[in-house]
Amino acid sequence: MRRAAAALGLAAALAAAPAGARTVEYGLTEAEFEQASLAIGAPQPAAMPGRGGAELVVEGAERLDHRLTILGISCSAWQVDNPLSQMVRSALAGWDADGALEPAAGRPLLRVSLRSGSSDLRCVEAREFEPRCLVRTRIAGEATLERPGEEPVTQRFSVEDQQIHERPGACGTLSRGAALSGRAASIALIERLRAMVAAD
Amino acid sequence: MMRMIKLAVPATALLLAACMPNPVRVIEPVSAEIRGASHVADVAVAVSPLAADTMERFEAKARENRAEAGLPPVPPGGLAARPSRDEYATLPFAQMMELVVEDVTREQGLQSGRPLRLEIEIDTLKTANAAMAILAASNDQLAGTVRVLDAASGERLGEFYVDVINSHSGLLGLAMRGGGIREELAQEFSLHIARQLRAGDRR
Repeated sequence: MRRAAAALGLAAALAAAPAGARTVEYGLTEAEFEQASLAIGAPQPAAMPGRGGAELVVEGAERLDHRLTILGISCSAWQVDNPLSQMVRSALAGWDADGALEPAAGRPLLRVSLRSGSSDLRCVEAREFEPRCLVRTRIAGEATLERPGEEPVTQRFSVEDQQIHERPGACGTLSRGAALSGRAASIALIERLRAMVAAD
Repeated sequence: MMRMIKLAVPATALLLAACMPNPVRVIEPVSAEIRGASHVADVAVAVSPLAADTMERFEAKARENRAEAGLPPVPPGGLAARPSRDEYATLPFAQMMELVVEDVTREQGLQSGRPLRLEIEIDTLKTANAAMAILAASNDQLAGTVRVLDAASGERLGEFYVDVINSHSGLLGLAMRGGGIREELAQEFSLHIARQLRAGDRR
């Protein structure tokens, strides 16, 4: 009787505990991102944009950090923390005119105020025993472009990346998929900001 | 021994119930101002390419049902008049689902207030596999994302994911579920939508 109670207690404890906790790793090299995409059958990662002509100031980056929302039943016990601000700051620093993310005299200044970041993932059985995972990342905020001697122009933005992973593997690899989507969303953000600078 | 079994059965049932995840995952909470103060004016159902393979089997079955009922094929733009519920099993999935969502949300009291448009993207539709059900258990499943928008302005008012899973174990379990699986899953999916939109009821 005691053994049965102990076994039930253990089963209850395991059911309540998260199956695993992970943090999305953004400190990967370009080659490592590419390897990750090959491993899980994700789209080939796009190249990071080179230096732009505007100076950037980033505000509210910490609002991007969140926990990946796992939709549906598959892997729902997993908890994956997504420090998306790391990826976005690094991508924006790469596009910033001098990489410093600070104003500099004589150059257009783009103030990027980040409002929210989110990501979700759902794994579905496309065919019997052939799972596919869809990962989506969203970034929202507003940007103000200041040029010397001109009125500042403010625009709201919302960018999204969604990608399908053909060979998602076990739940422990979810964080790799989230990293690839977070990187792609950061590139989409730069494209959106670049369009704003070009149109002005 | 019998006492142990008597205790173990309800304990296991409780444990399994506790393990069942909530079928609804909120992506963007539904705006508080529309809960209990809105109605579904428009529903658009799309099927993700991920569900395309399995969907074709269901579409073929619906066409077969329609032919057996002696009804003309559904024109590409859909039926001109709202069909009776008896006809739902003969309709293409997206049209059937749109009608079921409208029916269920209305029956659940969402009949007035701000008009909403729901955009539903289905990524999973599958029925239990008989071979798997004999070995262990197999599921009927319907899952997808629901986006809630203001019908007039298109403003986003919320987004959530619904995953309806009905398990069947053994051939008896499969035999007991009967027909109309597609419609039953759509009905249950729609009930979860209604719960998200009703005031004070978001299980």
